[in-house]
Amino acid sequence: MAINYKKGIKTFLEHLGSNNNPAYIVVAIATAKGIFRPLFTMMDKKESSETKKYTALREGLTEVIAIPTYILCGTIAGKGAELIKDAEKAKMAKHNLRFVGVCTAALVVIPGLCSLVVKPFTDKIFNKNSEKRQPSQLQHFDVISGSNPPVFQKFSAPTAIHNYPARRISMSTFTNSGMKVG
Amino acid sequence: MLAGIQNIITNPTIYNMTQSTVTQVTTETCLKAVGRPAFILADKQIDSQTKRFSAIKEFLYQLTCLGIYLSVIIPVCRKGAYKLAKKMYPEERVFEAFKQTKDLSSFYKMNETEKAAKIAELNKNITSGDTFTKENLNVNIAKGAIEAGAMFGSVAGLAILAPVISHPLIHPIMNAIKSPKKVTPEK
Repeated sequence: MAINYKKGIKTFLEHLGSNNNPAYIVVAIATAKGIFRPLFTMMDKKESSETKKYTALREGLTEVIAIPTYILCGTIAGKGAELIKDAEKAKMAKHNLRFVGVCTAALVVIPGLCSLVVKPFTDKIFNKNSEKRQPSQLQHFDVISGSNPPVFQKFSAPTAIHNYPARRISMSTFTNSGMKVG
Repeated sequence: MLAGIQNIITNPTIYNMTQSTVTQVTTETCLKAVGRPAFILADKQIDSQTKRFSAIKEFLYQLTCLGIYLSVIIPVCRKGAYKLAKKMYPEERVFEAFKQTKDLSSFYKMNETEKAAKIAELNKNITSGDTFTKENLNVNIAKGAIEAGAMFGSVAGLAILAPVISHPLIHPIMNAIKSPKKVTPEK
């Protein structure tokens, strides 16, 4: 088992040493960013839940787009080396062209694709969510009563309350501060 | 024109340089440091002050990433991975011939004639055991170990450490420049 493990690492290292494809590192970084950046964003306690979700989704999507783009651009650019007859020169050209392809992806293709896809996609999701949520927030208050029975199932809010976010109402709302009205 | 392009893309010096993970990441980070602010500044939907603010922030972020990457992560990870590979594969004579990463890196960049001369020079210093030959020096495994270390450092540095470290570094500078949100009074 240990010998196989060492042999596997050796094969990997030898492959990496003989041909360090430029797409490997950018894909590795994009994968790690795709996992950790949304994770860090969701852990931020200062931001509101909606902002965090929006930012995390946008960051995750950016990396989801970036990974195949890096691979595709590198591969397509590398195909140009097939025009060179000399095998040794073709090997060098393939690697150098892959590098050019990856750089082009990082500089132009990914920002362009992201501006085309990410913003409309996230806007669509979040606009849909906000459209679905808004009427329910206005019509129903979330009733959390702990051990006590719920006070209100429905609450018809006055027009002025539309400007404020819906608050959770529990028995403690009344017992701790007292009812000021009525 | 075509011959010129062919000469550039088949250049062995460029090939050797771009085989290094450090060169790849450094080039891409430099391109991002220039390209991303340029994209932001070219956006016509954002007002000029916000554009300026975002472009400076992006530029500083990429610059910080590059600084952290080159100064801390890469030297530590490359050397660490080389030492680890040396311990894992003590039978590989390449680790005996090249004690440090820089020795192997300079050997890797040499052409065939220079490599032969270097091997002859190494053989002069041997006190016991077999001589070094081109065949028994598995350069790929040592080079692979260096690149694997650089990859690990790049991922850990750019995806995890740099965003955490760059925030307290950039924040005071951006405060000095003033955020456009802070300049315009909110009602």
